[in-house]
Amino acid sequence: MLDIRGLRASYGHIEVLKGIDLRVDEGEIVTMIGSNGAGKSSLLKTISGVVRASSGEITFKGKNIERWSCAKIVATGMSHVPEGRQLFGPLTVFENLQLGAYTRYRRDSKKEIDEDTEFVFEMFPVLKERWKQTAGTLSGGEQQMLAIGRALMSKPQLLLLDEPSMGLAPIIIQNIFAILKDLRKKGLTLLLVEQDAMVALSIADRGYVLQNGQVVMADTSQNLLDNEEVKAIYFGHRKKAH
Amino acid sequence: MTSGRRGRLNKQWLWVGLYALTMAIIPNVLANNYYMKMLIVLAINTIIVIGLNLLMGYAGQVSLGHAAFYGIGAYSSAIMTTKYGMSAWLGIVAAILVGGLVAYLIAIPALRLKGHYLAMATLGFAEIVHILFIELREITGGTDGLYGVPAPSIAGFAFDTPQRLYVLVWMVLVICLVMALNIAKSRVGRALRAVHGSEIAAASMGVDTAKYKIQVFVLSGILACVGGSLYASMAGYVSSESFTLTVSITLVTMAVCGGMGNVWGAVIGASTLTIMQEYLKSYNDYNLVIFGAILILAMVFMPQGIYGAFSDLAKKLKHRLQAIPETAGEQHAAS
Repeated sequence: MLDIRGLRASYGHIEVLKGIDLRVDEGEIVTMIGSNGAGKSSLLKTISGVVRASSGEITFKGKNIERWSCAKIVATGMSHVPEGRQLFGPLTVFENLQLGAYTRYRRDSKKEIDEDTEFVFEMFPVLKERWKQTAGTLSGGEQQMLAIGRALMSKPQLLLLDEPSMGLAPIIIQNIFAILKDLRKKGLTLLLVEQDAMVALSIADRGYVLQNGQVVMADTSQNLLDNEEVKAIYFGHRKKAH
Repeated sequence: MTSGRRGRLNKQWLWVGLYALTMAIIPNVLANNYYMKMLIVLAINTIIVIGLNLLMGYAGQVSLGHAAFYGIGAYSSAIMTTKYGMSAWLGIVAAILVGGLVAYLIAIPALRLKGHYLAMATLGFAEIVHILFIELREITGGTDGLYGVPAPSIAGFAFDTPQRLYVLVWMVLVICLVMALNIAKSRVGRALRAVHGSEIAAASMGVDTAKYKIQVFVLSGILACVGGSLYASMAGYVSSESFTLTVSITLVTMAVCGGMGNVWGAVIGASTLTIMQEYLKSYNDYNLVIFGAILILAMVFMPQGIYGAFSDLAKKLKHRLQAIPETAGEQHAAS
């Protein structure tokens, strides 16, 4: 579904992605793990068109999209849940969801969009209870649910998630990841960026390890979980604690 | 959910109707030229501040250069009518075209900047335009300005008295108000607020942030030009002194004090501050000191602007009124 070859991107003179190769097949959950500053969020922004690639290819559903606008990419079936949720705080839950369907207004009928709003409300009943409330007044977990719900409103086939566990209590993280598993069952493909490697690899089929803008390891999640180097870098403290 | 929104929308049009009706009644109560002229200025300020509020309150793009568009509108109208003998209507059209084009050309580079840098860029633009008004003597009349700007007329009926021009200006204002309310409540309004909230998130939703920023800047520039054009018709002359940095700051202050991110905030801000400025004129040299002090106090006690403060108060009262029957019920049950 998504094929990336030799992807490079820079912020001014600083190159943040240095030739990334990555593949996501339909129906998979693929995770990208790495420390702060490894380039994980920049990679997602480059895939979704927020940041322009300086070279390389991004193929989505067989089309080269590296020069496409965000709007065109969203309309083709890819949606991005940005780092830190980036909700529209002064807007209500309902208005945030409506914005998620922004690219569909000319394509789909109002009835279809209303049905999808109901689908999101069924998936996250707490959002239905708070539909009139402004997004800024929701709790962290509810905000993450709204960020995912908003992304689902564009009816994506591929969902890019940037650190959905950020700043959330463990019990809420479990809920969010259970929802992600559920979304995969419903046919969605997920590319998940996470700092919490253990949690991410526990639900993903495959994983990539990113360091300094380069992929340094790519394997199945189980192999990465068993890999001594990965264990040392990402689960060192956790394993000792056990 | 949709019916709730529809209810709010209907209520909004009721407010527009009430506002238009009040403005239609006022000339019968305050039928003298002084008040009429003040109300025309009030309406012109409101038109400009509505545009500024769309730009700053909705899209989050700061402009300290709207006096430039106000001036471009006034001068375009004045030049077309006094130098080329065009009708006042064509003067207004020229103001819209010239202002729109200038706003578009400025928006492309300026809107790459954010926050304070954008404010500084628009400030610089306004200063350049102000200097051009003075220095391009052959076209603008220099410090003397341009005299003899005609009033618009339809089939021999000229809007040449304050009472007549009042009707025209207020009709234009109501059109601008309805247009702005429509934009604010549409998906474009939501997109603008999304750009204000987070450009990255808005782009991730597929909102073309650059396009909307340019469009709202152009629209707000055009509204300031329309205001300028109407001002030229009212005053009969234009002079660079009417379009200084102080005017830009006053317009921004009206938008902020009224309440950002709400069209009615622009109406309230422009109306309150125009009337206040007019009455403070009697304090001669102290009027700016008093004006500044009132603004500081307003911002300390009403950080969301006048609209925000009254809206919060109304919500609190509503909650209290809803709570009274419940408390009464509990007391009754306890007894």
